Amino acid sequence: MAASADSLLHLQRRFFSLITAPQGVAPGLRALAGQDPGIAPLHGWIDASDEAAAIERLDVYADMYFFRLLEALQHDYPKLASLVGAANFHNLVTDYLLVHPSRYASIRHIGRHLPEFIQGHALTKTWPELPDLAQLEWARGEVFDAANATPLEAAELATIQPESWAELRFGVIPAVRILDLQLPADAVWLAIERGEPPPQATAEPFSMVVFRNGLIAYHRRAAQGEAAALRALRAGSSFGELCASLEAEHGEAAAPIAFSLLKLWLDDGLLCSFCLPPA
Amino acid sequence: MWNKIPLGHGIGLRLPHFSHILEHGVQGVAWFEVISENFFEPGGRPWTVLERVRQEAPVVLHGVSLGIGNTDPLCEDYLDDLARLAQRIEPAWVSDHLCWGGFGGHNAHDLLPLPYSEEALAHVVARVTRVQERLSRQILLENVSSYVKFGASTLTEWEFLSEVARRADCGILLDVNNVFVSARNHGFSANTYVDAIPADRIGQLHLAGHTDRGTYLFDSHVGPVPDGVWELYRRVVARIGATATLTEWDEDIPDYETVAAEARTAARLESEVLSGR
Repeated sequence: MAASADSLLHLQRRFFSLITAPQGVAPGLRALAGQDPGIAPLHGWIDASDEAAAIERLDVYADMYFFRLLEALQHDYPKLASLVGAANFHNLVTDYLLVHPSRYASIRHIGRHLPEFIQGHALTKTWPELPDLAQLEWARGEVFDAANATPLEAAELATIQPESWAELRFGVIPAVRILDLQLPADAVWLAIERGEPPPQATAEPFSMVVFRNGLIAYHRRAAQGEAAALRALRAGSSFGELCASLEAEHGEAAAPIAFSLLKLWLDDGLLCSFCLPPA
Repeated sequence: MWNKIPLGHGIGLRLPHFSHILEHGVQGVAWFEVISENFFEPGGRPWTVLERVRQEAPVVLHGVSLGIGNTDPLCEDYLDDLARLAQRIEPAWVSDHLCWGGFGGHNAHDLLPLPYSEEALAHVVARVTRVQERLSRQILLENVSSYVKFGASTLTEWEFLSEVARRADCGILLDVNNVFVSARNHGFSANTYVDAIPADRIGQLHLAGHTDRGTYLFDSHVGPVPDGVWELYRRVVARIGATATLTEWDEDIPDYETVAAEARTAARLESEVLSGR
């Protein structure tokens, strides 16, 4: 690569620094001039009639950079954006992009780090449920276009001999996420969906199952013992191992719980295969 | 050269039309252009719609994040995703933009202008060659709308585009609206531009709307195709003959039938030009 001031690498570094400067091109130019004396005036390397014209044209790219990502994040987090309002969301995105600029070829992934990032953000003083709401919305987005799998039908299990059930293992569809939340993000989500005021958020740890059935994403609170059981099933535990771990916590109620979970998973389409060890 | 595939007049596959397509099918639209990155994820509603469309009509893949002019290395994961998608959907062709889009491992998700220099030319040609080898197919590169030009440029945009295509042996997706927008923004002749592009490299045309922001035109893809762009389209068709043409509408997207009607208008104009009316 040529080392001249006009080299492609040098030009792209300058251009990219300016269009991603959080306060816009003109303040960005002042801030960067100390490190890169050749960056100013702009019309020294941008072909424009004067400096104001060069700044105006670069600002077109700066605006597109920010507003395209803002729009993508609004698409990924519609309820969160609605809850905090346009101005707060704008500022949140500004803060977020400074820490997590896109490292992805597809804009689909731009919001991946928001649930973690927002945990330490000042907005959580007003809305402590934001990290949980962000987790829920991101999970809904993930299951929306996760890989397809044909759900298992209950009738397919009818031929399994009773003595074989302990060894039975199930495949879980790819479009499932299990979340451990602290605040009632589901109630907040529903209130915003209905256009109602969100409820007061009080801490009550619970697990949530987010999944896609057909083409539609759903979420619901996990049933008794479900989160651990579904995680174990996904990790390869047999139905017998699942019953044994439920028994440790629920005693004689373990078997009814296990079969009610199985029915729930079949109804929701969360299972896609089963296998038995070779005879 | 590029072996032209006569697909006719198509539209972009866009989210607001998914439900319509699932319910009614493609309804007479000759072909669809798909934003490649929107289908990198493996399943769900986007894939269901794409598979339905693919059963009924040809599809072409149009990327926005290849970053053919980036100075970062080509992203191998991206090329793997694109190759996998192309294998699965069997597109008529694959295209992206003659631009750059990121720096230092960060992506702007935008189509940023290159300086039209010998250095940039050699850089882009080497990367197009690499991409075509990786995908085992020629690609088309599209001219982008731009709002700045650089002092480092020693070639005109049309010289740069033509030379990339010749040296890398790739095709050209000539965006007529982008020529119109950039011509106004930089004060060159749109007619000179389109007349200079080698006809045997052009595999596809784009049409779209733009917005007049006073001191410059903005490539907004909003609204019907403006008269000036139609006029330039007629000039291109008269010179290069029937060519697969896509009508884009990406902001304030109207109903499916309205976008499809724009594609039919393009087909009618092409027919008029070619029959000498």
